[in-house]
Amino acid sequence: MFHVKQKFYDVIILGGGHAGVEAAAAASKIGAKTALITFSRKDLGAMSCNPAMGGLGKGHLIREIDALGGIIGQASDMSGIQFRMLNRTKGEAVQGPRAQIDRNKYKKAVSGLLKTLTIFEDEIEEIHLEKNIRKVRSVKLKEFGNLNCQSLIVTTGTFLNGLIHCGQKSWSAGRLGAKATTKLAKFFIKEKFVTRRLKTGTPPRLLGSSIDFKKCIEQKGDSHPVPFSFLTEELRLKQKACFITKTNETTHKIIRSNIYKSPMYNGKIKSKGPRYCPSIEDKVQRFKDRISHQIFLEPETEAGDIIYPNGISTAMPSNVQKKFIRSINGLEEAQILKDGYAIEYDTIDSKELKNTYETKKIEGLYLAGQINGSTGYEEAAGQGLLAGINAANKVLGKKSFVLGRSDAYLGVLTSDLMKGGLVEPYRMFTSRAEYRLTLRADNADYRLTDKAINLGLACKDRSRKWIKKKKALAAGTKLLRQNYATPNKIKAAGLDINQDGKKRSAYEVLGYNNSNWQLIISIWPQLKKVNISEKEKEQIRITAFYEKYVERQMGEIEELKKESGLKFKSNFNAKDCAGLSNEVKEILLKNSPKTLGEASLLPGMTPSAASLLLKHTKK
Amino acid sequence: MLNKDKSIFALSTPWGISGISVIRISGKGCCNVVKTMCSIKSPKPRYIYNCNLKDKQSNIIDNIMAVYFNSPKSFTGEDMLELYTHGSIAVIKRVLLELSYIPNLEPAQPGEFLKRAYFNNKISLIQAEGINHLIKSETEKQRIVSSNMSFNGTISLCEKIKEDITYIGALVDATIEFSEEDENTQKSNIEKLIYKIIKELGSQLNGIETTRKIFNGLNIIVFGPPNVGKSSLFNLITNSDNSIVTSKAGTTRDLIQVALEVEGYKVNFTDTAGIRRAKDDIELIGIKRTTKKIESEEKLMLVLSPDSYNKRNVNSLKDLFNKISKKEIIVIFNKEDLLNFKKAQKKWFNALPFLKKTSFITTCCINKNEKHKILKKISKFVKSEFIENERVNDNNLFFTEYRHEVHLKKCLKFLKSSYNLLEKVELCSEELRLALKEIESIEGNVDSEIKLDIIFNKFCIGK
Repeated sequence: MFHVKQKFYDVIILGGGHAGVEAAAAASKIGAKTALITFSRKDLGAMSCNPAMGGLGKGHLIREIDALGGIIGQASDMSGIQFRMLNRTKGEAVQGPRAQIDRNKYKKAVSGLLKTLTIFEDEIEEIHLEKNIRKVRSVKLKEFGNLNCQSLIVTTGTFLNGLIHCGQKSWSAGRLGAKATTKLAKFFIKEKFVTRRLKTGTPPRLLGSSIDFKKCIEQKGDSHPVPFSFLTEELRLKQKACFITKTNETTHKIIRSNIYKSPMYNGKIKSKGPRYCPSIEDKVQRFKDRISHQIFLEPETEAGDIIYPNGISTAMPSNVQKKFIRSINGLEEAQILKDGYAIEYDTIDSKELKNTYETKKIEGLYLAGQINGSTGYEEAAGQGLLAGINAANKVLGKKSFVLGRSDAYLGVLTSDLMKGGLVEPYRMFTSRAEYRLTLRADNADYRLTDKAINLGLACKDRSRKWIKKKKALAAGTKLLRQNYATPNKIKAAGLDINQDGKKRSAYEVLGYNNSNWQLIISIWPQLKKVNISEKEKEQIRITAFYEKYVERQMGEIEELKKESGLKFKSNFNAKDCAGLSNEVKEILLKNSPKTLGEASLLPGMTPSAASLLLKHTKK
Repeated sequence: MLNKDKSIFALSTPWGISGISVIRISGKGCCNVVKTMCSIKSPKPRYIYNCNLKDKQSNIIDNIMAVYFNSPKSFTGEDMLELYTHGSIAVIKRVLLELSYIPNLEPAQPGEFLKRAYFNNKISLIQAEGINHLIKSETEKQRIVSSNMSFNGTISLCEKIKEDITYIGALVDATIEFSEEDENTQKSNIEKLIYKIIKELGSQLNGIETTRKIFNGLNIIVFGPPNVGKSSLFNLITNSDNSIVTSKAGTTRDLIQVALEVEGYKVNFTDTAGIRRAKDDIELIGIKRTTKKIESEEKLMLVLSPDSYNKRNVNSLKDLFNKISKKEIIVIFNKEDLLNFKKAQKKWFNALPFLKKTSFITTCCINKNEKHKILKKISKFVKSEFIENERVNDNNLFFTEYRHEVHLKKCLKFLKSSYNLLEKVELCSEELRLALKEIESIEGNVDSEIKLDIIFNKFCIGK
């Protein structure tokens, strides 16, 4: 693990969180000479909040990052201690893989996957620009001195002017026990970046052995756990259970009578936290009619020695935390290992970014992750991957790589972030994707792995597996499409369909609600011999099921593309387009897009501004 | 296509003698007009000037009032100028001619002011459609529907429907995004809410038929054997001499139509050729047209008279009745001043028992005082069509265009399928998204942020 440290790099990544490690992995895979700077090598891939990966929208992101050759999926599979497919009873499009993760094993897995990466354990002092152009030239490290680079990706998470609050106390930090990056904050202020202060929080951590789990409801993982990564063949760790308990009226009373001690309620914290991850103070105050709130007791490690009580993030003073925790069923004797806290941090308004995650102000400077106002490991990892690809591609003279809203959740993430002006941390949801039925977790490889191969991000194993799978899917689908039956025959097999005399293909029938392969084979016994795996068979069924919806969405996407191809007249002047805000007019004047599509991709554009422009170009 | 560089002008009041006439100019050319014709160097916006309007040779055309509106605070969103001249044909002619001499100033195309207002985002498409209807409105009911469309009624309704669909979408999505939470998003509630919008849209779609009839008018066909006084009746109720009246059978050969306002509704009366075996080709064509028209319209007015009772007429009406038995018919027994009136009326009743079931009146159409009696019957017709028919409430009519109908129908289709897909939440949500898009196509946009806003403001969520 010893590398000769040099002074010149193509891409330097600042920060070793989930954005940083993906950026580094992607940039080096593509072939850029890459280095990563972090306070401590031990913190590579640290999960500073909940010990879980994935979920709805988030699980989709992991699959996509994996399909593009990222590491988050594999690392999670290597460290997952409870796998659950959320919404298992609902349609595949809204199923999201989620897993509890052993956070130590996760860090180990990440380090293992980044074995060959050059890492500096150091602290950033300054960023230097070229003399006459606004382009990144080098970074100055506290210990190691100057490092030259073509591109710099900043992924410092909550470390930018981070301020921790716990009761009346507050101190500067990046996360509990790590220092904040104030020098970097000064750089962004000097360069006049628009910043925005956001807030997030975390619950206290409990000692596993001090909890009476018998009083709680056990929640087991799936009996047939499904991995995140398309490469993972088998999950090795022992699966652990989570437990559910809940707050009660005593808990709420304690919180209410101490509410003035919470920095969120005594005016100390003014910045906004995520609505979907409210502190227990918020829940109790905002939903006064609720007599209890659920708490998931999640193991942070395989050994189960540390428990993360999901649902009671708090910034109450230490003694109040202890008091209300102990009022909860099963936690009467609970010992707090680390207090919960709230953290305020600076984010850079993502309007400062191009859709490649490069800043508009400074060439070669990229931002990814929580610094852009997002929240969540998966959201950060996705941005890191995209920033890493683009930073490396730029250095190597390759084309930039931008995903659209109809390509991937990663595209939805990018385009939502680039709109700028976030008022709360941005988290992914499936409802953010208009094309939710197309962008499924199950078909992430279908959508993205060919792109990964072209970008040079897919390892041999991935390429080989995907090409084999692609062939099998194509062959199976073709065969299904070649076999037909009369509605009469199909009905006889047990499917209630319209007796209109029209023959249906096996593919069509497989796509019907409540249809399955067994049924198909009972109608077409000759299909029994199809030589593809069960997994691939299921994949074809899901695709067939959603196909009619996907086709309809494709029509919509086409229409959008046609509209985005509309060209502005040569004498187009944004000032003439009534109804646009001055801000949008300025953006248009500055960037002078040629088509509606280009315009709508500009950061700061809103959907309503885009529709005004559409009207303008059509008139 | 709009040409931004061109300014437009038009006479906005009717062409003719009146107290004042208003001439409107829109576009950058306004300044030029104010300077050269009104001799005002830099006009104050929204200020009424009294000035002399001069031609090229600086001769005074008229003493006028003028108001200048600066962009974007004007009807069209462009610079605008309104000139209030005396309502003289000669003045109007001269002013329009002088305006046409000014470079880049052109006479406006029909509807061009509205079109500019729309493209400059001063009004929505629906408002533009509404104002267009309002200008053309002749009856009270037409005005009410047009006002709904022009002044926020329709837009508020669309907004309300959008809000409702977005809210339901948020409920459905909440069951997807927060399935882990023990939140109480009951399916039955979603079901009820979708059903409510389906009903609302259904009644709006029915309403379109009514609004169409309000604008096109209710057709009433006056028919009967020759020389029973159909045209006299027609002229009496329409206050006109549109139909030629003679004592000769077969005088009316063409269909003659006049529109009237009854109870606030537009009613089209059609006078027709008498039904008999035609004497010549032209009359034959007229009679064919008549029977066709009678068969195609819902409301009929049959005129009979004592002197027209004969076998031939009875037989030709019998044939016709077979085809129109389901239609609403008013029977007018005309010429009640004739001596054998009562006897003849009985004969008609006996010959055509069908008549007994209709609502009938006896009258004499050459007597002007009888008009109110007949109008009363016509009001009944109108009421049965519009008012007694439950679906109509003037304040609930918001859509007129075919375009609206298409989108509403599609929206309804998507809502119905979302209703049927409640078990498959992600598909249900997809149908709701498409339903929303249809309403948006009638006007406006919805951001996905809004959906999330609703979720969070409504529920306690968060693991």
